[in-house]
Amino acid sequence: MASRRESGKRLAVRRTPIEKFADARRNAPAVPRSRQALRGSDRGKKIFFLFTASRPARVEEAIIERSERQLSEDSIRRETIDVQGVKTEMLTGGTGDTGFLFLHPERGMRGSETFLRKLAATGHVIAPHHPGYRLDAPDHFKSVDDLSYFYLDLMDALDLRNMTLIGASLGGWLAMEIASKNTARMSSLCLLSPAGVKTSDRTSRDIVDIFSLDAESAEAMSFHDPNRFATGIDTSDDMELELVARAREASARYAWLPYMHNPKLSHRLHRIDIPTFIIWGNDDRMAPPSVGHALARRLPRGEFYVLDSCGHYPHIEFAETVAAQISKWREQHVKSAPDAVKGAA
Amino acid sequence: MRVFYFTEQAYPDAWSAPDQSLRITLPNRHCDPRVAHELYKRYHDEWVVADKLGYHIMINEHHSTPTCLSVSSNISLAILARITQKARLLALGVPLANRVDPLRVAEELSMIDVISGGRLEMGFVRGVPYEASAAVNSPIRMMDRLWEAHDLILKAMTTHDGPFPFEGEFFNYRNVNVWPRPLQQPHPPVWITASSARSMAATAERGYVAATFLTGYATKPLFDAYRDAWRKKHDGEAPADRLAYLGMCAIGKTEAEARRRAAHCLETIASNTRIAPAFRNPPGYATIADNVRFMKSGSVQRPSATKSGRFVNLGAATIDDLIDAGVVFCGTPGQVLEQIGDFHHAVGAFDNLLMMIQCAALSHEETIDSMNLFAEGVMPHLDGLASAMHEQPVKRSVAAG
Repeated sequence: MASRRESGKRLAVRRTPIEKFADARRNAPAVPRSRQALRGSDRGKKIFFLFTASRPARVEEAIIERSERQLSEDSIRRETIDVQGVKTEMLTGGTGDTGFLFLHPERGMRGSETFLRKLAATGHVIAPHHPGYRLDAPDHFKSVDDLSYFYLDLMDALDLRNMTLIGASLGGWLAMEIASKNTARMSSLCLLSPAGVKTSDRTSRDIVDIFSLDAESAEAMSFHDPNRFATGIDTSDDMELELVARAREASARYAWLPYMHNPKLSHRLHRIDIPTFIIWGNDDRMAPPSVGHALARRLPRGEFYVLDSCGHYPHIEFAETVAAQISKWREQHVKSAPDAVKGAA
Repeated sequence: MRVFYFTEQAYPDAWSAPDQSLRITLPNRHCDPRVAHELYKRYHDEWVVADKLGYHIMINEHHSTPTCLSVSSNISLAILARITQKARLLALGVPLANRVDPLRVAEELSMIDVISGGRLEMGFVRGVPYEASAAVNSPIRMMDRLWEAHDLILKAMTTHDGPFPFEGEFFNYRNVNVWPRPLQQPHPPVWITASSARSMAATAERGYVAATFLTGYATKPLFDAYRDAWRKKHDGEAPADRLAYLGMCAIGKTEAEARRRAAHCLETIASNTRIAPAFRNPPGYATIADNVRFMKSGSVQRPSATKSGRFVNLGAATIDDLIDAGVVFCGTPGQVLEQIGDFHHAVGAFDNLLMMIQCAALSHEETIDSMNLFAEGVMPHLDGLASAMHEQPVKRSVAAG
């Protein structure tokens, strides 16, 4: 598949409604966000609000391929994106400016789709596969620190502003790595039982070693109610098998040693100066809620919330509840001056 | 043909608990260090006998397991360097992809080569999959790490004009200047283990000895991959001394005695599958495509080809299956010679036979008896086998044009 960069020509992709609208808006004067938000009745008419006037052309350049295939009736679709030469695929859904950037956990995107659909009902969400989880990562990508620079570049390339960064488990670790470097494009942070910061002594682990568990045991330990949520693998579906294999390999690439944490991150938490909502399952058998409690105390604006009857992946076991909580959190903490992005064009 | 005597230096007492994984997780309270002490002494004594009988000696290492008490090839080699006189000393090998400090490997191997009077054969291996979990390094891109460590070691051994820096992707050194330098010039022979056509070809291109372990009659396509790659890269045919096969040997004065001894071979092969499922196939060890195939078939192990064209699953094989597969050579000296001859004929010329004669709980007396039987009844005839093979036109799997 030739990228636009290689061919110098745009791929012949049918324009989606959101793009047509973006085209129409491109030359129009920017409407202040506060006024856009007031025109809620327009939502029924499927009009999409975009900051296209101020959005630079490179945003569109980063997206090199779009899938017209609808992944669900709720309009989650796939896009292939090229950020500084690193390609990955992302799921997108919802309307308006990107409100949510979701960083998937070590299991990959598997199981997160329902949550993304629920979230998309409240705002535009993008959920990239981390490099390696869907397409090959460059050889020099070896740590979550490396991934964090990929996402800083991605946020620049898509000119994301005022968005809520959400990360689950390994994705939560990644979210903290990103936020510890630069929070200018974010208004708030949501961490779902995040890895990344070690709280225990040197002969203990905060998180169960998934690489010492067989797949079935790891799946069973991940949920309060594995009978309802543990996802069996469909061995007739080669793509699903590939995603499972890739998730395991990519997680080992980023989190093998030190296992699921970066010893330096705990010394950088003071830099995460945005409101941070930490959600943890009370029955998390992969990492106990005490880890989250300790972490919340160390984050400058951390708030800790424990979900009952919930395991390690709250957004999978309680997709609707968690999406609603995050949406509410976002509304409470949207910055008053959304365009004031330091360093953004 | 050169025969290398091999034992894994097992601690068989700890194998009795049938449901225990024998790798990574077996607590070391099952190890009585006084028993281990006696075992080491015994294995060292057997090496001295092997040296006197004309064998060369192969050493390996494993970690967190009672199947192999050698935790460092280099420590075993260092002992061998002084207690043996003539045997070539083969490490097969040093698990380079798991080594944190390959410069230290270069220093130790150089020292062993000098102490042994230039008898070192320097084998580098990637490391078995399940030990990735006990190693510091991750199982991602192990071959890339192996080759970078190899590059450093070879450069360290062949640089004689003072320190150089090494600033690689995986390893960084400020001043590399190995003392002593190896006795064999420019460096001891390099061996690599290979289980895929791709790694066979990579080894052939570098001109190193390629060894396969227990691949039986599936060895032919691997050796052919080596030969093909050699033809493309170098002039002429691959020399037979660049190919090596490791098989097990259960030998006795009678067939019945040999078959009793073969029970230890079966136990050893079964031990290879006594690994908790989580450790069998660590992430990154196999390709994504292979992992998809494993998940579809539900098994990491490929069945092994046999002489008669059957496929057998090694984990559930009988001794007859293993003989048919060319994994175990079993019987009287005459029978063993015939089986090796058949195998040699099938896979093509190779000059290095790595013989696991002692395994599991085969006793000291039985081991010495087996070594003698093989040395008297098999070894003297192997050179004839090899030269008979060489006189025949080399059969090519692919027309070289």
